[in-house]
Amino acid sequence: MKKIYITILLLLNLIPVVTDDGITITIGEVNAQSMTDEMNYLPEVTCTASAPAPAPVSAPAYVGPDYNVSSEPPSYNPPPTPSDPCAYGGCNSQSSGSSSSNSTSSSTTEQNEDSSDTDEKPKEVDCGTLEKYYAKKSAKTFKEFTELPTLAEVDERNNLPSHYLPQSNTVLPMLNFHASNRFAEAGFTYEYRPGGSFVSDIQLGTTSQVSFPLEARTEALIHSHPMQHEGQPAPGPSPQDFVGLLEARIGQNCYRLNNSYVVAHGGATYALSITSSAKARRFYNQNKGQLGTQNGNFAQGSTFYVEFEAMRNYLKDQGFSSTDAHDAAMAYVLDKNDTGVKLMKKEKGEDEFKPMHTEGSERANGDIKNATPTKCK
Amino acid sequence: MVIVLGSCVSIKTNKPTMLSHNPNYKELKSLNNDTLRYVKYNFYENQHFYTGKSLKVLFNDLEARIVSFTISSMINPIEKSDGVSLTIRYTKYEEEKTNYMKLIIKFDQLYDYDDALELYDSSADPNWGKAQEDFYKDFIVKEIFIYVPEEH
Repeated sequence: MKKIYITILLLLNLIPVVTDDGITITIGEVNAQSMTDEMNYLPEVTCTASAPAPAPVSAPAYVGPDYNVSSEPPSYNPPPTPSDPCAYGGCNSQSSGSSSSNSTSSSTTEQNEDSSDTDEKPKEVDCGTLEKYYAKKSAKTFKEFTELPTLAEVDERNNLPSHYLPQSNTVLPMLNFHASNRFAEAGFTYEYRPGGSFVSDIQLGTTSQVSFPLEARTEALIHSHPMQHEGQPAPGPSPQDFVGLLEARIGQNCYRLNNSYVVAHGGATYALSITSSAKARRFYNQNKGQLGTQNGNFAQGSTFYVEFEAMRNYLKDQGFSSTDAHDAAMAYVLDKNDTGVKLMKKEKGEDEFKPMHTEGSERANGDIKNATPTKCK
Repeated sequence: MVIVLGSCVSIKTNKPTMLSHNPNYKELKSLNNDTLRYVKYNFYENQHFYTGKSLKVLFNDLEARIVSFTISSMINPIEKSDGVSLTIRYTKYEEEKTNYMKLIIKFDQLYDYDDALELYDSSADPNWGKAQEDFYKDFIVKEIFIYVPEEH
């Protein structure tokens, strides 16, 4: 089966997408002039396409000096034991989830003052049955992901008469290992097969991106967000992660793909879940000209960039940590634009994913007047 | 005996720095006070004049009023910023409704997000003044974008 390699720039820059046929598709920098501009950045390809995809018509690809995809992934030594992302160092002993109030590096007085200012957290609220259903569904897929056998193990088991009880695989230990340092992102794909689903080999990237081979039966993705600063949790899914999920699911018709997970430095795990494929399709088709990305963020000059920045500024000003402001701003863009995608977070040591939402109102000039980030109980 | 009547240090006069102006610059009034057209023409379409120069060159030309600013965020490193978004008011003649556009300016260098956050007051309107201008004026412009919201 032909594969389409979609590069998901998880934190930075472009998405070169390369197929077995040598097709390179760049999804990236856009020079947006206004929202009304007609721009077509995203390639029209299918998840199982065999024909070369058309090149994008947007601006020349931006290639950051330090973030090119490495043709030869760095070698690594497997971690000795499964553990959390802090086990290999880099996390403050008091770090918990996305809190940075106690985990900020305190080498200077200024940083101590900053950390005391960043104690605002999303409020925990009761959520409806439907929200809980989505959370459980994402948690179920996540659990399956962490217990999938490899393809070789599936073949081995198919030759044996007995059934095997699910066992934890190396997905979480590996990703925790890669989230614990600042060297490279890593990830896996969940491949559905009627004869036995399996987990892909580990995909290694750079400090800011990792590429995934996607097939029509790819069920889910998972990757790590490495440490940026010692003692501070890494943020959850970036705008690029969101765009990458939609591009694969809708743009490339990977019809089974509904979940993209992030194991972040600091111990939190996030899920970006397509909870309404109809809404996601409508959003993607109506906005694909606005869904270019740049350095992991939405493209400058796009509506989503402005919304994301405005909310992040507002929340930072209200005392939220960089990570919490990032996550809540991401939830704001997803909710406000009725994207059909939900952001959920599982704190370190917890078992459940909790949907995150941010409601806000804007002034006429686009600044945020007020906002309330929440997380389901 | 040698009498020295002066030092050998050359005396410098502090002439005021003359900021260069965009040779293609069109004044607001020459564009019928159409602020949207003015900003789009001078700072987006002719941005090549401002790139590589400090932001004060642009500020020196800008006739439109900045009412607010947004600190550009980065995903990695998350505590840094690589630009600023300036909100500018414009009014369409056929309507009395006030509209806003964003002049998004990216810099060559990164700066600490929290340094600019100290100057950011989400409750203030306008949220821009001399302190903010002084903070940003020496950053070197890398690229300029414009965002014009759709009218509702």
